[in-house]
Amino acid sequence: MKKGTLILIIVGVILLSLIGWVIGGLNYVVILDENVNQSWAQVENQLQRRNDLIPNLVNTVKGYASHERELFTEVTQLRSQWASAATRGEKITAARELGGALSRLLLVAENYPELKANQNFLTLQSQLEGTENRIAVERRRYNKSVETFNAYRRTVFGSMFAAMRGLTKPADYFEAEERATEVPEVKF
Amino acid sequence: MKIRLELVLTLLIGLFCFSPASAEEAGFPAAQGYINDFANLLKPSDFQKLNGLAQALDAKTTAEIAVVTLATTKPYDIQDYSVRLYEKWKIGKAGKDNGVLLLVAIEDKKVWITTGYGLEGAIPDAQASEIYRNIIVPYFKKGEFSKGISAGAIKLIDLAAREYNATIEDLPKLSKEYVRPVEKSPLASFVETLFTLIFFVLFFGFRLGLFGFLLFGTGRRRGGYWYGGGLSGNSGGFGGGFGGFGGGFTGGGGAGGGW
Repeated sequence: MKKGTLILIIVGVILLSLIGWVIGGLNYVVILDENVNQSWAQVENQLQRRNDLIPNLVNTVKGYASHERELFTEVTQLRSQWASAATRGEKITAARELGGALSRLLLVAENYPELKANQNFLTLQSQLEGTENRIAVERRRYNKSVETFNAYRRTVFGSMFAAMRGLTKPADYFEAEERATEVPEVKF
Repeated sequence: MKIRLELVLTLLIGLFCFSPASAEEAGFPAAQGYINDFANLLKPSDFQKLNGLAQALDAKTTAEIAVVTLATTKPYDIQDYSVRLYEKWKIGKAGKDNGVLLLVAIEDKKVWITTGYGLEGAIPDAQASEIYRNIIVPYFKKGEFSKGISAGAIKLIDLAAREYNATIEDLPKLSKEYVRPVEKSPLASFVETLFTLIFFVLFFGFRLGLFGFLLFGTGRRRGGYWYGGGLSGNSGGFGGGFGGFGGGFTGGGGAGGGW
């Protein structure tokens, strides 16, 4: 009788613990996923902020550097591409390309002294810089949360819990875009 | 039986307590106080003045400022390092995120101002950039690091205090002493010198009395900040008040650059 109760207690403890563990795991994977979503929202805020600056920037630059038509079209296209992107992966791709095009657009200004002296342009440039800094910060945080989530998904039980919660795909990393560093030549 | 039971329980507890290890970022110093002069750039009296202002700012507005001097921020660039250090120290109060960090890397010749989410309105990027360009750099170019750092920090404290409509004792006086447009156009300074000369000529010509000496005397009072304090450089021994920063976050706002 005494032995029986002991076994019963042990089995009970193990069962309860197992149930607790499963619930904990199922919750944990969702928390990780939610972290990824939250940090993505922050990234998206900053990307949106950058996009809002673009029309103004393009118009200002156009007044001085009308030769860079290709670059204007590219920037404008990428901007709308970002806006219409359906998945996070598409958004990331568009944002990266847009970042590259924008940094080229800013470098083009080096060729136009009058543009460089334009107060409106200078303001836009510094706002854009501030936004890029913020994007970099939020992007790093986002990538960190993606790393945690993806790493957990690859652990033995993590993959099980993720599958049970329908989180079957790893989250997308947001790698930094290639920054343009060379001033493009002007073709007249 | 008993041993096995303990073993099983230990294993189970070990399993449940599992949480993914988050790698602690190495290479970031711990905060010693509001003012962290790791590179020994601040004169003791400037250090004390700034510390007093930072304490008063925290007490009156809850906003927190951190001033940090370092040799280098390598392998990170200064903006990245600033944000990472900010994340570690959590400058500003939790929920308000009202912190600001002024970081100087002397060997890299770089300075960066990082604002917390809550102070982005009080210190917009443009304003931070102006403090960097027009207040800090002119001093740094002359090699006056202690003055440059103090001037920048005082301006930041001033802006934060204004946001909360708080008045901090000594702040107006110190602002006048440190924060002033350093670069003047040659013509302006010429005209100024001319007027000063005329003033003194008239002054001495007409009333060379006790009153004149008094005024003349006060006009020249400056310097003397090598001696105050007696704080040993890096000891971080504070007379109380600093119990760590409050848990604020930054979104990477701010500005800065090289000199």
